[in-house]
Amino acid sequence: MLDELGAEAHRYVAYGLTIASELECPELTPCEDSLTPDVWFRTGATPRDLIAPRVRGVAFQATDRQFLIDVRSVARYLVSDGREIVIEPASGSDATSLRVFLLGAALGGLLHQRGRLPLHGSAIETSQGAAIFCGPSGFGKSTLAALFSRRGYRVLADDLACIDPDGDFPRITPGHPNVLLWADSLAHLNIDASGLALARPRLEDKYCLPVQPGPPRMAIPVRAVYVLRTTKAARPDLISLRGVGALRTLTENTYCRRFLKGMGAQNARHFHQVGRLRKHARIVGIHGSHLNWPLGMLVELLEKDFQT
Amino acid sequence: MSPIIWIASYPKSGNTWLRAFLANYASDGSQPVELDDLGTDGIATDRDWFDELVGLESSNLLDEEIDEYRPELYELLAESSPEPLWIKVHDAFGYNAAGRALFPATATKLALYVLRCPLDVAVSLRHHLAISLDRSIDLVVGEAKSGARSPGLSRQLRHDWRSWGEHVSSWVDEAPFPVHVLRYEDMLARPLETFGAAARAAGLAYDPARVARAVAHSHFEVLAALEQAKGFVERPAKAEKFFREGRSGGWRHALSPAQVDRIIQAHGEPMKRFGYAAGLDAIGADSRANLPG
Repeated sequence: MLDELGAEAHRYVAYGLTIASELECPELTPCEDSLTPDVWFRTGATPRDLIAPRVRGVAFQATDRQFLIDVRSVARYLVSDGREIVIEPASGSDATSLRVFLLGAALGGLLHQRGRLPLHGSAIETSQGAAIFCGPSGFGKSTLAALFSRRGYRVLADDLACIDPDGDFPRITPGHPNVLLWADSLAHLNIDASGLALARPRLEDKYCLPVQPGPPRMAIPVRAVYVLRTTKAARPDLISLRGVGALRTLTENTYCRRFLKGMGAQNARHFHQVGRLRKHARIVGIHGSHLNWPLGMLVELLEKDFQT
Repeated sequence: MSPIIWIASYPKSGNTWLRAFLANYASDGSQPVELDDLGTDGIATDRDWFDELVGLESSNLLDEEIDEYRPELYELLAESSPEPLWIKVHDAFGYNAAGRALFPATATKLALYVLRCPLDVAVSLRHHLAISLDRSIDLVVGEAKSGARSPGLSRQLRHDWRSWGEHVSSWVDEAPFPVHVLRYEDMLARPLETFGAAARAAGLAYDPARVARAVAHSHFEVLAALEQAKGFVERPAKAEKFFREGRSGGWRHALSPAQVDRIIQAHGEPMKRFGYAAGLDAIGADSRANLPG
């Protein structure tokens, strides 16, 4: 039953996974090949509670094998075994909002279940490999992704950058080719918002900017993780992070890290994954007042750093 | 479970000053506590708290969806903390769409509510937000909404001040838990008595000598000097200083009679209730006539 969604299922590829979905997801890259799906999205009933969750937040619960995410006015998502997300829409919810949390928190949880390392960040491809921009919401991750997209760089991810930490080198596989930007960032980048769709109906001032997709199954070595930090410095500056500080930063910027505490084995594995990433990639803090930077100055600083 | 003590006020009414006193009372050190170490546990509308404890990115949620989670967020915070939590809040007390109090009694020990004459608040607010006096008065009288959406993501969740008078009565009259009220003007005129009473109400072990030391370490000039030396993270980028004047009655030199009148028209009754009518003898007869009673 798990394998059968029927001929009418939509097929996509994201994060190196073939996804079969009952729901149409225009944000995702359609899958051109006929590989067996790795992941299924289906609609159906979900429980109100998991049995004996190891960790519980206001809107989520987690066990070793399952996450339950309850976005009350939108849907409840049951994420199981890294293979399936069951979505139970709330009455009156809209399809766009369903997908925001499906492709965000739910998919982030699923990637944890599959033993991957999802970071809260955007990512671009440079000549040296992948560069990831992490940081709290509103600090400029998506702004940087959009900025570099306009300079001809390929955007690999926005908001959820998923690393495969195993193999000879940690690598990132592309997510989906859209960047979500607030109106002030669009203005900063001289992009006209009037032709863009809202990220969610009624969520004013947050827009969806499509970007050029790259080869969807390409896995690119991660060369640097940049972490956006607001400091009192007026000019942007790049500071290498090392040792325990770097590990702590990577942990803090892990996507949905709050779910990890419920995951037992994966929680332990996560510690080694960030250790491996720190060993192979440079971890760099970007210091400066976010969105007050002269963007040209930051771009120059980063492009020089990409070559390091 | 350790309940929350809300340190609540309309903006620019003395909230930070009270928190500075409480931090100095708790540490009772030989030096004043640094501004960035005020040691209270955060602001109720902190976005990171929400994202962490609710488990969703608030930047993807509508304001009313966020409000739906807030009572449980605070309950979870209270449940998870072995120590009492002192949380600053500028929101008016209110309810979410489901009818639950945003600040639930189940998570609350009490609120320390600081209020200040709205005439001085209007003047202080205009400097803090770098806006015109008339725009500041629009906010104070409720003709403009606070947190009017900026086109980007703020570090805080939307918080709704409502008008000054609505803010005051929402906490003092509607909140379903004890509310200890203190006036900024009494903090200035009778600091030992006023701060001491707040410490006792909050359940702190009361020691008059310790109160006196904490009052000295949180005096306006001390706070202003600390800001001058090292800055203050709570100062908005456009404001010249956070600690600007620290006195009452400055409105007399800043507000026109028409501006005073606007505020009295809107808030005459709570102004009288909280002892702000007596100081208005310098204004015109028309304005005085607008005061009830």
